Amino acid sequence: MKKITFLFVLLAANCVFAQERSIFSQAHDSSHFSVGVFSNYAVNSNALNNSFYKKIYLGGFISNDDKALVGKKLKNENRFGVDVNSGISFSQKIDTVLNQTGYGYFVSLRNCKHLDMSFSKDMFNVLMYGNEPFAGQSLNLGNFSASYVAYQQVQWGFTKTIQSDSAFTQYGLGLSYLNGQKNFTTRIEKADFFTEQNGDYLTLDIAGQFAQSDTTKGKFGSRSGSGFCADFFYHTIFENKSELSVSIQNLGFISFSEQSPVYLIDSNFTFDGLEVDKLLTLKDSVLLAISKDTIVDNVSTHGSKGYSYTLPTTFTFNYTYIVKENKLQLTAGLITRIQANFRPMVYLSANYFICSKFVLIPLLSYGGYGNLSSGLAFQTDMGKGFVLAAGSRNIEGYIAPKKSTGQGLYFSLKKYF
Amino acid sequence: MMNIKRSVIFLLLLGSAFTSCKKNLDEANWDVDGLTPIFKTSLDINNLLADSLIQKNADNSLKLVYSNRFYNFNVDSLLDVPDTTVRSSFKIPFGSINATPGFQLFNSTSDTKYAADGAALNKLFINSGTLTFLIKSKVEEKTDFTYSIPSATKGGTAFTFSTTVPASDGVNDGVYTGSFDIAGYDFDLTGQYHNTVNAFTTSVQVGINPNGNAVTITPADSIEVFLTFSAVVPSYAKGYFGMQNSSVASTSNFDLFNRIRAGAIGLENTTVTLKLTNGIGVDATAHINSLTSFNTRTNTSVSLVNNIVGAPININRALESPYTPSFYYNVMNSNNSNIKALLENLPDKMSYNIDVAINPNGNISNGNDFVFTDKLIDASLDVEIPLSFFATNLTLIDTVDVSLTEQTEHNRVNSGTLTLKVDNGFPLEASIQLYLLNENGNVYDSLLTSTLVEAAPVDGNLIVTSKKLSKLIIPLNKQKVDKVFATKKILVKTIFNTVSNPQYVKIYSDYTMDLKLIANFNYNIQPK
Repeated sequence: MKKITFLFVLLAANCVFAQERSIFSQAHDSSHFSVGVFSNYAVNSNALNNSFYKKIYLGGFISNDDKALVGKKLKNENRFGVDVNSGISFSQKIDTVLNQTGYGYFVSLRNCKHLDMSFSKDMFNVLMYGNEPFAGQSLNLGNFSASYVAYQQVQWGFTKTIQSDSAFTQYGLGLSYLNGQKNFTTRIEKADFFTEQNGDYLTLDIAGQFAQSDTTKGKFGSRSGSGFCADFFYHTIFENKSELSVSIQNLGFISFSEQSPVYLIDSNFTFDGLEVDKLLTLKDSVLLAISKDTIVDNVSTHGSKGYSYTLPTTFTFNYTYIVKENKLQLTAGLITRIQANFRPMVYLSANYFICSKFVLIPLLSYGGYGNLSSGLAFQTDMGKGFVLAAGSRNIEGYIAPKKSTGQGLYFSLKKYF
Repeated sequence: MMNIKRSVIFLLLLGSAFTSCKKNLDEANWDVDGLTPIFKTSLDINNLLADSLIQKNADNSLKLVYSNRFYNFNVDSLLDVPDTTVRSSFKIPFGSINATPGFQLFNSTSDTKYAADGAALNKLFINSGTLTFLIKSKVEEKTDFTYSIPSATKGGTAFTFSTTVPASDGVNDGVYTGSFDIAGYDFDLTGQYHNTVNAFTTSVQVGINPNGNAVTITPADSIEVFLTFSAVVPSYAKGYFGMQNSSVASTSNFDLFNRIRAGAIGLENTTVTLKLTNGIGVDATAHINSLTSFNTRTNTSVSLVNNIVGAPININRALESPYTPSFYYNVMNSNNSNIKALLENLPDKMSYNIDVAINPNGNISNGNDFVFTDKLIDASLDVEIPLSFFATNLTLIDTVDVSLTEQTEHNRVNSGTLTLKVDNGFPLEASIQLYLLNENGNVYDSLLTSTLVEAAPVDGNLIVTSKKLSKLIIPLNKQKVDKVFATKKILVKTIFNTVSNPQYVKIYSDYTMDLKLIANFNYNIQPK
């Protein structure tokens, strides 16, 4: 029954990643169950900086200086991702199951939000500066994809521990029901945009699709769709005390209802002004005729139908080497995600025991939605069964927000009984 | 277990606090520079002038066709039907009658003459009007009263009504009043024997109410009926309308040049046909004593000089079956009149003095004059102006209705310009300005900074060879955008000059002017 709680934390922490596992779980080996609360958010990009995020999220005027700072980092292909998760958990060891030992189960409730995006430099420039500065130039707005999903998750899972004198292995499986709250998904394969030098006409050669969950719903807890996902974890400790972990998280989908607007776009569209007959009567209808809805109608076919959204699935591999027992551990890992505009991320972290009940965890990573990031976290055994873990994978986001592109915090608190 | 509960609650609260960061009320926003066409259109002469005014000649040149009815004969001068009250009295001549319930006191049919003011009518159809009854009874018992006009029919049914008149109390008469709509009734005015005029037949029955009591009737117990025709408007009349003379001096509107406020125009040629239409079944003689064009903006006038002025114009009567009006035409042009000068005065009013004599030769129709009151005598000018002219600072003013709903989006325009590209295919240059009008119709701002639309180039025959591009600029800022959205009318002032003045240029049907509005603006985006 050893280290069930350790396994649970790994399964529960979708985006906190493996290095945030409970280092002090062995100290509470004798406890039969535990409850916990966890929360995290993470934002990162290889181009957008923290100052930019702050204004987008908290509000404020984005100046040309702000845009220029982002512009310095823009590449032909840019990434952006956000994860916000929180939840509560419960786990319990089971003495025997069918006369076998080493089993446990866990239950958790989570609220999850995820946004990811891939966009071109031209897309950013047009959105932020407008098309006038680029009149006469062909702009590539294609290779754009973005998706947002908000859902609630009810998870149940079991764990199995196999322990011998020289080795230790754990694995587990979690199954979840997902309540799809809100989603949009868009993928624009091609979007060549041109503004004639004097504004005589605009052309847009575009192909892509856009789907959105039922627009009449979307508040917390409302159901626009339903889905399922599975999580898997495998962890082993070798004779030399080094550890290897592999996990798969969020392997599943959400099926959204038939009331979902879906747009298919494949159009070579030239707009050289709305043709008007009654010029000498200026009414709303003239302006409304070139509204967003009208343009969408012109370039797309659309209707309402159901669709499935594949969750961003995370694969984690890491290896921990014990440099000095109860003093220093080094972990190297690889994380990748599919369906999420995510680049494989490698990371290196150290667990440095300040004392037996307090561990400081510095971290370096490269990839994911961002580039090179540094983090700092800690875990502490607070006594009376409380274990607290908190930290940031992008500590630079709080030190130099205009220069850094990522930020995030995580927090978990467990109580062992 | 209490320890577990407390711990769980504590953890939940902690988690909630950690994740409940909310956005500020200020939304993220930024400025972008947009450049986009807004609308485009191509205008030909039919877009600039009403379709009904334009006709195409065989050589694709155009002419302006306009008809102005300046004189209408007043039906009242022909057929006046004044409000009229006719009194009838019923009583026994002597002695007394012991009248029991149901006893019939009077049963009378007679002709009633209607004052027709010199006309001798045998038919009168009513378009609208009211017939009012006032019945006064001195009989000291309720009486049943039935009144009918057999010669007034509607759909073949004669006018009739019945009522019970209250009894007199010995001091005050029993009184009944009632009004009836007589629209649609056709009156035969030849009397019950069809041998007279202006007379209609009435029939009256009066009896003691069957539910009343026996009463003694003496000659003092009279019943008076006051029959009032009011506000009678006929739709048709027939008979002899008499010899009548009508003289009218008046002014009418001439709106062909209404939008022109200043400047001069030279017309290469013009033809105006004076048309007199007689829709009445009477012979008539008209004298046009004067016809003058007035330009009230310049306070100038030009009187018509033509041999028709002051001369008698005999107009034959219209035919009734089938109905055929009679016409008289007099074509005027530069050779026989000063009609060109009269029109180049750019009149907005026409004044006239016309005498019309009806039946100048007496009752030659033997009482068969007729009139449909919506078909009378009128005089009009049918104008044909070839669109071959020159214009010197010809100033047109028009107002455009604006109906733009206040929207939050328009408040987000910081600055910019609207550029109206005008590709002019007409041989006229135009200086255009747009003025915003407030609710009192007063100008409170203008929109354009560059105002000149250059004329299209022409060849030696003054025919357009290509279009000429001009750009009109409308600078915008927040205040101006607000004004545009708030205004309900925009005044468009255009000053035209033709090329090669004073040579006449022709307008052809294939001449067009292409317009495109392009917006270049700095806009504040605030995603929702």
